[in-house]
Amino acid sequence: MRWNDLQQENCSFARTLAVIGDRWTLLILRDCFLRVRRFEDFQERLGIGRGVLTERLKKLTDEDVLVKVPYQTNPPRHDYRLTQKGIDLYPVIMSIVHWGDLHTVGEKGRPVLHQHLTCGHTFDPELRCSECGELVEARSVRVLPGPGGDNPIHLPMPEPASAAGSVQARAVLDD
Amino acid sequence: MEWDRLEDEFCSLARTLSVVGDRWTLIILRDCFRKVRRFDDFRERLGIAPHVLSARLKKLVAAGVLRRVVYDDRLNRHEYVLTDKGLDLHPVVMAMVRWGDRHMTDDRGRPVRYRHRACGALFDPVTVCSVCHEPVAARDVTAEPASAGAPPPEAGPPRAPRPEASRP
Repeated sequence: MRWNDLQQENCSFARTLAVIGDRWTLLILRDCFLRVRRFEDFQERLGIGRGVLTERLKKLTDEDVLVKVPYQTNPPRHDYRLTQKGIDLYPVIMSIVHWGDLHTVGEKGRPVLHQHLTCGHTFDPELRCSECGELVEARSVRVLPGPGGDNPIHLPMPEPASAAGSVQARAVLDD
Repeated sequence: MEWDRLEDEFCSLARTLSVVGDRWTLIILRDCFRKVRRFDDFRERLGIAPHVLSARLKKLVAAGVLRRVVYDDRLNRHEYVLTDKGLDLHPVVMAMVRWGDRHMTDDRGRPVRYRHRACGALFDPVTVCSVCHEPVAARDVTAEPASAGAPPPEAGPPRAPRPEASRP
């Protein structure tokens, strides 16, 4: 696996990483969801170099995650706005924030609370099954080949059959 | 904002990125959720250089995301297993997979499908509000600074599951 080929990997996770998989990009996206739209505002809030910011915004625009919208003609100026594809990243951003809220805040507590306007409550994001509505936990998910799957390396490792876990024993599928 | 000070930022996203915010680390975590546990298996599946892999695993152990478990006393071999703190990253991984399934697949469709053992159905993960259990959309959420020591959100009442149309 090479970083430059990440987008060619037949794995939805790797392909997502090819678009958003660096820290500046994720922080830029966080700010997009906080309605930051202008180059200078990103730069000021993040303390990011102009060249790096230009490059990351161009990549997100090329990937159709952001779209440039002119707000002034003379001189020409534009905003960066989330497309629908970009807005669909919201669960990714929220899940990252939530893990930070769970595991990285100190005694001061979480820096930001999120209020769900639909019900009016402050809330945590939860990942639930589209079919039964129950919480989705790692242990309750079985990974199967999909229609576009062509490489068993994207499926789970077979479980070692014994605690000793010899190489041969691991050919046994756990499922 | 400086990378080596990211954990000092007063932002839960920035602090999370200080632990998992590089691509190798995230790919390693994906494989952890696919039951990859041994150094050689990570190396073989990912084609990652041993010293890079070693550094990333060490960092994840130091952060309490993975723990080392001995599986062969005689040979002093160990596995890397997700801790509860690591298992809590499952929604991050699944949310990224979901977005990739939606926006980055080719004509052949998604490479991997997920079955929920609890109900037996092929499913998509849906991010919902912990209180009302409705799906959460960005425009329905406001972020506000928390006052010092603010309690975490109230837990939602237990309620009947709300089925939602699946997207194959």
